[in-house]
Amino acid sequence: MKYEFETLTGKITIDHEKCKTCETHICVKVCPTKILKLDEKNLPVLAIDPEEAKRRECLEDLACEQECYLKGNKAVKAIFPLVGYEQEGYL
Amino acid sequence: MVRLFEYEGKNLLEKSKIPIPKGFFVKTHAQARDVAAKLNVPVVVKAQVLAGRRGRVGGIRFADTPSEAAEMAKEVLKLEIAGKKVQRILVEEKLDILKEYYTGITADDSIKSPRVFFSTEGGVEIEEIAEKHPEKIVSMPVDILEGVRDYQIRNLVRKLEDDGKNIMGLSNIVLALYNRVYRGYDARAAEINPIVLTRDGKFFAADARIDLDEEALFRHRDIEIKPIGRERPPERTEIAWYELESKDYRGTWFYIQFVPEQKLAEEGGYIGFHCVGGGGSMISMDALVREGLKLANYCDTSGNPPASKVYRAAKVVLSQPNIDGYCFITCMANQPLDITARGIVKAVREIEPKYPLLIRNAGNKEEEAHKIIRDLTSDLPCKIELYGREVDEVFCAKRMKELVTEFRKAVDKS
Repeated sequence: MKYEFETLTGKITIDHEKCKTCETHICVKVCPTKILKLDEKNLPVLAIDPEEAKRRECLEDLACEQECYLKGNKAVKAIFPLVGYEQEGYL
Repeated sequence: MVRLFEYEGKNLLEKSKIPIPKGFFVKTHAQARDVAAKLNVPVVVKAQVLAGRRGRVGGIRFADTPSEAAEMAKEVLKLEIAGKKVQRILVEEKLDILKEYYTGITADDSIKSPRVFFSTEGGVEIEEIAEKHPEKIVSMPVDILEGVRDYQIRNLVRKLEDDGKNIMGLSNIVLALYNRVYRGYDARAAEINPIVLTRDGKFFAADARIDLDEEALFRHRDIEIKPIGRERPPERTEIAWYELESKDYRGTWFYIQFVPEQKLAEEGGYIGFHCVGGGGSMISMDALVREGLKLANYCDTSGNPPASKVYRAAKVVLSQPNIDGYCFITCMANQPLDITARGIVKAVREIEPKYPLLIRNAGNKEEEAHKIIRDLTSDLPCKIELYGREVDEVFCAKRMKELVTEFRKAVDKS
């Protein structure tokens, strides 16, 4: 069950299946611009308009992906394509 | 800085209402013949390479007929000038030259202002004139805020030229070069050598040497100049850099591929270099080279770039084939280094390099940066050494050399 939103130069995908058992919800806490919130199912989603997230509110700082890897369920992936290079983008 | 080919420079001059000879840029001898036929006058065939003194090595030839133009073009296209293969030529009408002049504009560091030069000795390298006949060159500084007035340029030209009609014609060209080219297109230097006065009393810019500020190219989409792939096909590293940097305005990423990736793959013996701080990078590079290390590339991510940009930059550096190490050194950075660290870590986790990495984070949030790197690479087999402000660039260079030597010994043994 993938949730995703676009950023200025890429996208963030969140595997909500993995989030179901997450105890920390660290992605929401660690985002410096507070663009994530927990919905009624306790899953992380955008707290703002997706266009705003894409335009500027997501800083592409990688905190959500990396802190989720360390303290969450490794559900968040930040994908930043690079012309001429294989797309991996996973932590 | 982007140096323009002559035909590109002349394009700018024409846009700036400076007269240029009729001509066309072509790539084959057949096209040269067609252009000569179209112009229906004697022509000059000129190699388009970013090198001076083309005439002295046969890079500028004259032809009276289209078939001669084709022959001359064939010969010129075989040339290599200053190590650069001639791949394109400019075919233009041959001017009936009465006299040649020189004008140039460049930044004078001693006064932190542009300086306009003029000489009645055109067609020769200006450095030669300065050495042999300094009395035949005049110059004036320009207040960058005030600009330059037409009477000031006329007064400058008048110091060496007597003929009133010539003074007007030359001044118009010099003024246009300053206002419309040097200032209008954000040039670092602009030179016309020679300005030709023909026997029928007309002025033309017979050559153009223009260097543009590549950081300002985004303001001049009308001329469609890219800083990569100008004299050789661009490396994939350069394409990646250019494509991102032209779209992502946050922070800066500057990249130069010193050694083609194919050569890296074949020869080895180089390290990947990544820095924060252009000035500090010079010190770091000097230190690394003094230790006998060879750098495959230059890469600077400064000006507070997002982690996504640093990730891409680090990925480009780390992905270079057959390198023996990755050296990341910051100056005393004011950009938050934890953000930079996140970008580097994402690339390291993706590439999982087998060679050693030396990372020196010094400045704003260096402790947070170190924690991020330690926490997120502890499960990787990579050898990563972390340093902060307690060491300098010289130490880092020496340590990098030791790490690379150990790595090469281990590789040779296996």
